[in-house]
Amino acid sequence: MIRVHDLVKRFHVGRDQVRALDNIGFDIENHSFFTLLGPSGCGKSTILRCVAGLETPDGGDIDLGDDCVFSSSRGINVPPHRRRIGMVFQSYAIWPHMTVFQNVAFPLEVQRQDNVRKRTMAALETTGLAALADRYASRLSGGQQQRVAFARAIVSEPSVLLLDEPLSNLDAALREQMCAELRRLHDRLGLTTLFVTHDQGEALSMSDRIAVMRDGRFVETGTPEDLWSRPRTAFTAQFLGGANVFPGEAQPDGDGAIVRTAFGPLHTSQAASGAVSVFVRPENVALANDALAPNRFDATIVSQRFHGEVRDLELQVGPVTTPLRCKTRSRAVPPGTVVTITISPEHVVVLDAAEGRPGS
Amino acid sequence: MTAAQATRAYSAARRRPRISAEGLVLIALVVTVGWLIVPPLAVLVYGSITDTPPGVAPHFTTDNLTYAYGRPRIWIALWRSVLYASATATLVLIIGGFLAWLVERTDSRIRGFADLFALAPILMPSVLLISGWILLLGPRSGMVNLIARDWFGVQQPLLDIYSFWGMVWIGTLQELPLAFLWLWPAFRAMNPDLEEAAHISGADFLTTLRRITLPMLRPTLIGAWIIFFIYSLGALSVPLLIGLPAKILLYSTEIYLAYRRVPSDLNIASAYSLMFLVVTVFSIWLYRRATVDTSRYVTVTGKAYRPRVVSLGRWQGPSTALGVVLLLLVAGLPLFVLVWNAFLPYPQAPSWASIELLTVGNFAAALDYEPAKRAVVNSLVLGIGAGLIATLIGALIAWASLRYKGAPRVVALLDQLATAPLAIPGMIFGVGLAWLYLVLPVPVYGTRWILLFAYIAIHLPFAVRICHSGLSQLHPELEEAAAVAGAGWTVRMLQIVLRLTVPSLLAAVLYVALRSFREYAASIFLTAPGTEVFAVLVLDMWEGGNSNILSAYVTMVMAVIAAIAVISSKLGRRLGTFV
Repeated sequence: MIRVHDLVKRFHVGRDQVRALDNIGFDIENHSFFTLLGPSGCGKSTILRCVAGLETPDGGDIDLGDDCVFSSSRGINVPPHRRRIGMVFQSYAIWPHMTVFQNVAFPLEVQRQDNVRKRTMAALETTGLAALADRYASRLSGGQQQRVAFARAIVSEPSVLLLDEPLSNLDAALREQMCAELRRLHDRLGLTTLFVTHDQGEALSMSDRIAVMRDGRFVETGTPEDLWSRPRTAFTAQFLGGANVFPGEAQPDGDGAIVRTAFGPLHTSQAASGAVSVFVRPENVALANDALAPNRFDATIVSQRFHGEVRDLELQVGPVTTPLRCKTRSRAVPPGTVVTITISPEHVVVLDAAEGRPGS
Repeated sequence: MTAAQATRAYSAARRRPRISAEGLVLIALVVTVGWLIVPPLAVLVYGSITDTPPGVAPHFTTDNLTYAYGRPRIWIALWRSVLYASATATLVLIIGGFLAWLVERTDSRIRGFADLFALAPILMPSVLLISGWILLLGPRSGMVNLIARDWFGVQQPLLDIYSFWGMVWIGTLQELPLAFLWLWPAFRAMNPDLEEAAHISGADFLTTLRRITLPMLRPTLIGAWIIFFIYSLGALSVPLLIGLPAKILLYSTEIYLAYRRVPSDLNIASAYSLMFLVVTVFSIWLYRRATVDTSRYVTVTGKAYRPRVVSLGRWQGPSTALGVVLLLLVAGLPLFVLVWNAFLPYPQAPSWASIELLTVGNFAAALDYEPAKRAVVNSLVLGIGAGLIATLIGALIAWASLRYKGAPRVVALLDQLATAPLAIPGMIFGVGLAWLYLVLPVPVYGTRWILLFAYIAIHLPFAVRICHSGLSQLHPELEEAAAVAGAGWTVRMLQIVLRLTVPSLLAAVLYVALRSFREYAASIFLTAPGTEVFAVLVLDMWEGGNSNILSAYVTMVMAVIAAIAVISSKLGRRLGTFV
């Protein structure tokens, strides 16, 4: 269980104070995998470092399990080496003057725990490093170093594991593999994990819950499925999957509504009225000339990029200069071509108009 | 660990609202560094507004100041000093800068032996360099003039070292290796993309140099010039060994003379020193101004670039020749003449006849001279002691300024205090420390302790600098990982930080030890019978001794230092294999 309340952290930039964290609060259930997701500089790593005790917050409370490790009101600040947590750093922070075994055994040794040898070997087995125990850690590949860092983080059986963008230095194929492995180990060891990343793919595939962050605040919190299919803010919709977002004026229409946007009326199957924003995921914009479809537009292709599985098109609809993004499996279409697109009403999702409200 | 145990551990941490280990160390550092640096300088003010010798109930007066600054003689000396220092600093900057550029930015073959320039000041403490050059260019017995007379029949001395330009010449050679070491990293750290971008934009080599390279290096170059200027201003060996016999009195000579006069006049020496302090504080201010906005210049990022290398083509030969000549001038020739003289009964130009005169008698005479043996032992012990202590303090200061998050103002103050001696002439520390420990009722004056304090204070900036660069290579997460793993501050420092920075710590110890070994400007005010040190003894032997015995003595000592330097750098390399 990790409990964070009213966390505030200010940084000084010259003479100005910047609020790096603005009243952050969240609870992480035991054995669950919680992710802080956001663009760089949004404060996600700062939260993690406050939980670890590597940064001192300016206000708030942090509890790990039943113990308060930081409280500004009660004047508690337990130094990092007494917090008994496991952490994997972005640079892995493998000590180059020690062997793999010595690196992993270090937490047990400095915490004066028993069965150092047996437990270290167990951690090395778990991470598949047993054969490399006597190797100097600086002579390992990136993926192996990552495993050492992970073994060192779990060897003393902490209940809390902190991961600070641990996958960002790995190449794409290895990252996929480590993603799956990290999650498997998390489940097997019954850890409570706080994970920081800027990569939506990692966040979606590994987390139980995700907090989307921006400028030191939580934009919204939810399960990966919820945030993907029913985001409440334009920021989340755009950050996860790069959705097209349009402001407009909604009028009820049967069970759904018609939203008047800059490039024309959009039918949605959701009920709405008044000023709203709607979003459409690029993959839900179809290149098809179906005369009966409700949301049907003529669009000019501005540019296209080939991504392998799909083709990413930028379209211009009518006089609107904001491009509409579309992902399609169609063949190459030269820029300037006019095509007809349709958007099914159930794919036009209405967002809360209020932006950046703290998540539930 | 059970839950109950865990709770106990946490409440134990909670119950102790104590000052952390880091905090205690920081306080100790401020006290130590403050004590080493501030009182010796502050006492100069006290000295100059009293007319009573140290230890006597003070009588306050402004007579000293009016006397010291009321005579044109001192202003003439100051002007001459400024001329000398400007000429030296400019020459050093041009030659040293060119050398650094050749080594780092061209395909010159000098690269291969550039390390020797870094080694030269170790082999050739300035006192030896000057000794060598006097033996080369002395008007009567200098080897060059002897050769001119014996081989070519030139009756008048061909070149006379005892002149203003002779002083500038030696001063330049003396600082050249330091200048090279100072400027080399600046050329190395320069991002070649910036120059290449200029080339792509259509600028030729000279335009790029004028519009991009030099403007980018400007803060570094101005900063370097000011540092060289301050060094030359505060140097004492050239003014004493060459200036005094030539009757060219510089400002530093005047301070020395006031101190050496019988009865010694520390009050006047202090009053003179104040002016030096003012000039150096002004120079530091200039230096800060010149380098304060360096962040605006992308040059120094600490990232290792592989700079674009200029192909020298047909200039390859001349550049190699230049490197060889410079190396000969700063080390080779003086070294040769010293060793040559060490084996001769009296100064001689090399000839077949002189070879028959070769003797080892000088060595025996030098070994018989008790103060000479004492001086080497004293210098070695003091050098290593100062090296260890300065490195300990320097490493902690470097750690605090890079890593410690609490009390940023205290850390900044500490950093400034510790780097201030870089710009304060050593002789001022000498005068100040002599005053201080004559006044204070502790038995330090006239012992080795006072020399130790001087060496630590003077060389602290170098220790901080070397440790800082070593520590900044260490990713902070390596320490944080240990903290998260459960290691307290002491364990982290010993098992992670210390272990991984051993090579740079050793380098700092060695550097401070060697600089202490060659230190004379402060030592000259602080030695007493029994506490002689090497560099001061060499100065003394020049005044009253046989230059051939001196050469033998110096040759032996150089061999010892060279051996120590080689062994410890090998050791450092072996310990540094992980980093």
